[in-house]
Amino acid sequence: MPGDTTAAVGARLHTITTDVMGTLTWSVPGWLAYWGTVGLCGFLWSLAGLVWLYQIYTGMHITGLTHPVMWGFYIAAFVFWIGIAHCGTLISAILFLFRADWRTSVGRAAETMTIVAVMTAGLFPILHLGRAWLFYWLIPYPNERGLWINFSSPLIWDAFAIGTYFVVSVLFWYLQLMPDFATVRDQSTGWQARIFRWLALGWAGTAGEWRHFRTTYTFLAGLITALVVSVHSIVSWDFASAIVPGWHSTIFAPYFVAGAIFSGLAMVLTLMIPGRWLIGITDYVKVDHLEKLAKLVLTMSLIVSYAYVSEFSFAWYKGEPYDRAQLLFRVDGPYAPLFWLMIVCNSIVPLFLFRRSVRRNLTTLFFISLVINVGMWTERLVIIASSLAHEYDRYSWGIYWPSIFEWVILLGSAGWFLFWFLLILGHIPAVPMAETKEHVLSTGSIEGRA
Amino acid sequence: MTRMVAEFDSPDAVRQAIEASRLAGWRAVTVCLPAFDEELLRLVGATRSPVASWTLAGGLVGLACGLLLTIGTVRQWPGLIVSGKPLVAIPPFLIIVFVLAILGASLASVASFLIAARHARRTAGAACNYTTTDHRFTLLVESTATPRRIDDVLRSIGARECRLL
Repeated sequence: MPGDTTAAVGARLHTITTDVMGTLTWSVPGWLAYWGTVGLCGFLWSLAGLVWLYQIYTGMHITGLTHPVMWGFYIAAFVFWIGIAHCGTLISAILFLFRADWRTSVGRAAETMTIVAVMTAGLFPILHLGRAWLFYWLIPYPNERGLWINFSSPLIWDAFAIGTYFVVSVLFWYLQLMPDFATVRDQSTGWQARIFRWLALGWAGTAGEWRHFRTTYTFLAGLITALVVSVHSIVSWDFASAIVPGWHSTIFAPYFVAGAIFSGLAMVLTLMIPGRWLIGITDYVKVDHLEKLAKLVLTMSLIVSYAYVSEFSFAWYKGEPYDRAQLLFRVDGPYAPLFWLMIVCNSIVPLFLFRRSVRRNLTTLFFISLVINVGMWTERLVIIASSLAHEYDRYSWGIYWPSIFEWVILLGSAGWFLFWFLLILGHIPAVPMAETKEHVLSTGSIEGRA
Repeated sequence: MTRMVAEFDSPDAVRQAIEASRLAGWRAVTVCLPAFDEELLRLVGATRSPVASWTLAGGLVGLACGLLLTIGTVRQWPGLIVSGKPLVAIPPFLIIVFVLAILGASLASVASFLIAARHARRTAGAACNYTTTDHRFTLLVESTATPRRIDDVLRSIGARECRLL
């Protein structure tokens, strides 16, 4: 840190430790707001759990699923939550590889969001199975059933890809936490010190450890970057490999990956705008950081909008009557309100982010991020339901509308997601301490290189 | 042989101490840091890690497992219903193979990190203390000089504390 006295350097590093350690102890108003929110989320997912039990008891007919639309809310929610999971990797791994230091302040929250979003997404295929207790049939192991899984099926690719993504995301998240766990271990006493001693896995901070740490972190960043692109491509192939009009498109993989990053970035904004206050990290997650996220949201919105235009141009230009019919069905059929809502939320509202004043106004930014979340969820439902509702044979057309039980389970999934997100982030260092200190040492600022 | 640990407030002071140690003919064994610092790691010779080789090996094992799992097992199930497609279909199998290669590489990377980090701690972990994960920087020096001489040199550079190991 050029210009600082040696004692000042130590003092600044110690301030980072005390600030972040402060997020692990709660003042009374903060405690009430935090546990009140966690409790509410717990109630929501408990309610959804009861509905799930009711669904198991009575059968899948309580959902709105019926011929020909046998994929509905649950699969839309699965794709949505998997998409949300992609942003943590973008912020932590891809921006790390590009040396964008500003990502550090929101990186921990984004990575935690990734893990919790995969946990949430993983529930939906099991919910959708109906007979949830048979989910292990997806796993290849020697068995007496006389059955073996079909490795050519995208659903099996999903199981492998999402399982691997979860494992690698947890490893990546935990690796970066190790030096921070050691700091908490060394600065606390009693039960907290005992827990963090166990979590730190003996980290001391020797030169050798830092060298191995950085090498591993860089390799995992590269590996998870390749994985994140492949996972959502594979999710898109669940649809694109079927010969359903509106699904059978080569643009689906990049379209889904762009949509996933778009929705994930919006979710980080939705969580961090109130979360930075709730957890007490306003000095570290600054308006500048949120503005940079807003710029990324805007970029992804333009890419997603381009994908919408491309999808429709291809469908129109190639002259395939069923694809054209599907296109018209989306813009003018029973699902048209959802389609236009999707366009407004994902392609029009984000354009306000071109204005700097909008990007820096946190209330407006929070509202826009919520709108994008709604838009991206709607996009999943439009893709799934409208395509299945209007296939080739007009005698097998039909409309799907979700039942109240599906709405409750969707709401419960948001509760489940927020419950675990807040519970985990409230009990670990919410900002990467070691990495923030690295920025202070190299540039003198907690933001690192601009 | 004297082994002495000195605590500093900044990485610049540690750099100076390492240079002074070299000029005096002493060996700077390791440093303990609250954050990653590439220059300091180079100065104490912490430039190589076995993690890269293990990551490659893990990736290759994962790749082999992927091929074995897909091709090997479906050949045991000739009655598998695959909708008229070939039983052994390499393009879709490659997706599983790719994912398992990434999984193998990641697991091997983290496992080798844990083992290598444990080894690094065993050889030099005693130089670290509760302040080095917070804000202090320590340097472990090995020399045939007297403890008093080492202490004097390191304190003149800005060491807050020096202790024999």
